[in-house]
Amino acid sequence: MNKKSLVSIGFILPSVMLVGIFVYAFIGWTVSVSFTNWNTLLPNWSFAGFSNYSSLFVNNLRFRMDLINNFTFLPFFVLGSMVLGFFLASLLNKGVKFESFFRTVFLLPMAISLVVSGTVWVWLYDPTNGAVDAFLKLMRLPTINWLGSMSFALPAIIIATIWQYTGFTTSIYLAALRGIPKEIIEAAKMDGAHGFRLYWNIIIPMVQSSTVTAFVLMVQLSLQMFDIIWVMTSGGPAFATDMPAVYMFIAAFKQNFVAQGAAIAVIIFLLTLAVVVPYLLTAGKITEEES
Amino acid sequence: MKLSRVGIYAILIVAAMFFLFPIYLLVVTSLKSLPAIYSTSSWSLPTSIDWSGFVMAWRGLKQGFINSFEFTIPAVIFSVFFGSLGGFALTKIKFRGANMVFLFILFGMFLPYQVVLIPLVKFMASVHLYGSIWSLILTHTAYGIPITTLIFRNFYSSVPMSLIEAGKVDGANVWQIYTKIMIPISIPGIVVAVIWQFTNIWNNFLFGLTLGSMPDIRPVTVMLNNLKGSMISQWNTLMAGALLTALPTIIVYLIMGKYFVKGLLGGAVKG
Repeated sequence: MNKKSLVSIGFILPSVMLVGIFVYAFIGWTVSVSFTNWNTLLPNWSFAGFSNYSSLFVNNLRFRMDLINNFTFLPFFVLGSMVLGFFLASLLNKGVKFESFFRTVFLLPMAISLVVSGTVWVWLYDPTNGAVDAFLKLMRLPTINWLGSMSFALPAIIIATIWQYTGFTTSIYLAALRGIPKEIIEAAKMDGAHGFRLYWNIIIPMVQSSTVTAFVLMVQLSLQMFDIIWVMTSGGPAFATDMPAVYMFIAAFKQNFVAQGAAIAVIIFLLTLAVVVPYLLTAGKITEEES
Repeated sequence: MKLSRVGIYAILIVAAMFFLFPIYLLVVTSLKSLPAIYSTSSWSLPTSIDWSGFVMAWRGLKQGFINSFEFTIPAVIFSVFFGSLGGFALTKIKFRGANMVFLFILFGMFLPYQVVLIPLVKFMASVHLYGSIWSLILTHTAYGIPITTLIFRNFYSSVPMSLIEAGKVDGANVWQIYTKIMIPISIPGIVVAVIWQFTNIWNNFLFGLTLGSMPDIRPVTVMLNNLKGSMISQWNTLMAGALLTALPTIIVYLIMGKYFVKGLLGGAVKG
């Protein structure tokens, strides 16, 4: 090994070591524990096969609800934030005045901790004097105990989460729209593509890679949704807003079902891999072709 | 789908109201007295400014503020430094397997933290750091490296190789090239990485919740959530606390928003 490569290894070594331990070794540890009987306070490394997994899927009502909630949350949140983000970005791209003001406002929630937004949204949804119910009263509509209701708690959280992340998708789409050469739009308009057809046939296909990026990021966020649920409802009422990440935390750290918690974590991890790995592989391919 | 100018502005203003309303509510509620919260409509402006919410909130969150600064600042510095070192090595020192190493690190960006949470606690306990501020510094440094490496890799790939060659001709070694040539021209990249890391680490909740069991290291976000549990329905105190917790990152965002967006897109869009 020559001197040059030794030096370069020195530059990258701290990062590789930290990531190696904190990402890869820890994943390996969690996967191993998920196959043990460590559902006690004290470590127990005896082999349990797939029992921690099968028990989740066979007779665990809470985990079944978690999956249903998570996969109800996911499409509404992902589509909601992407459609709204694209729509707002298209408007901002029309050469409006005060554009930077609007951009700053839309993205502001992204700069705020989910604990802060969660707390504010609990106050907004407060059944006694919250702003949402006060508004409904003003419109002479029936009021709703949002976060205390089995059917409205999850939609309430979806709205709060869309509020938090739409600025993100707006920024992604705005950057993509800015990247479309003006000549292409002009040429399409000359060919008679206007309004909806211009968007459907020209603009949406041209921002496709941003759509994929936004989709992967939002799905990934959905699968690990924890903070805002923990702060707003802790998974309640009666598990109506419970999610795998919340159950994982409770199982591992509150009930000492360490192996059970590890199994849930591995399931979240595998679901994430299913969207992230194809994305990284194709993104890597694109980068190689470009360079 | 053809919208008039008036229509565009109308929609943008409605959207802005949607995004600003919770923030507005945060501010007006924090400045009301507790009786005023229940005697007036929640969105009305306070008739007289009442600071009791802030006084109560500060009493509950002060230690959390100190703690959050204590681990956020070192973790930002370390993660940005390692990211910059790595980004430099990956782009300017050609070594075999550089792309593989990059993917190895980048993968950490998409990691669901649930899958590392249990070993993280056990690891910190086994190296006797559990309960120490260093557990949070180390954790935030490690999980910050993927994004900072990506930011600096993108930043450094636009730096021409000729600059490095010129340094070599002048007899500079790799370390000198890094400190004398790369660091000075990296300022915009450093600003982007610092702002992004500061916002993320300050706002983090999950690591604080799992590692911050002792009040003397517990982050402000976790303390705010505890305050929510102990001050049920004291909305002036809770909103004041939420505002205080959000203030550092909001200030940074309002002053340096441009760089925040770059960090965001740097993480979202491949180089």
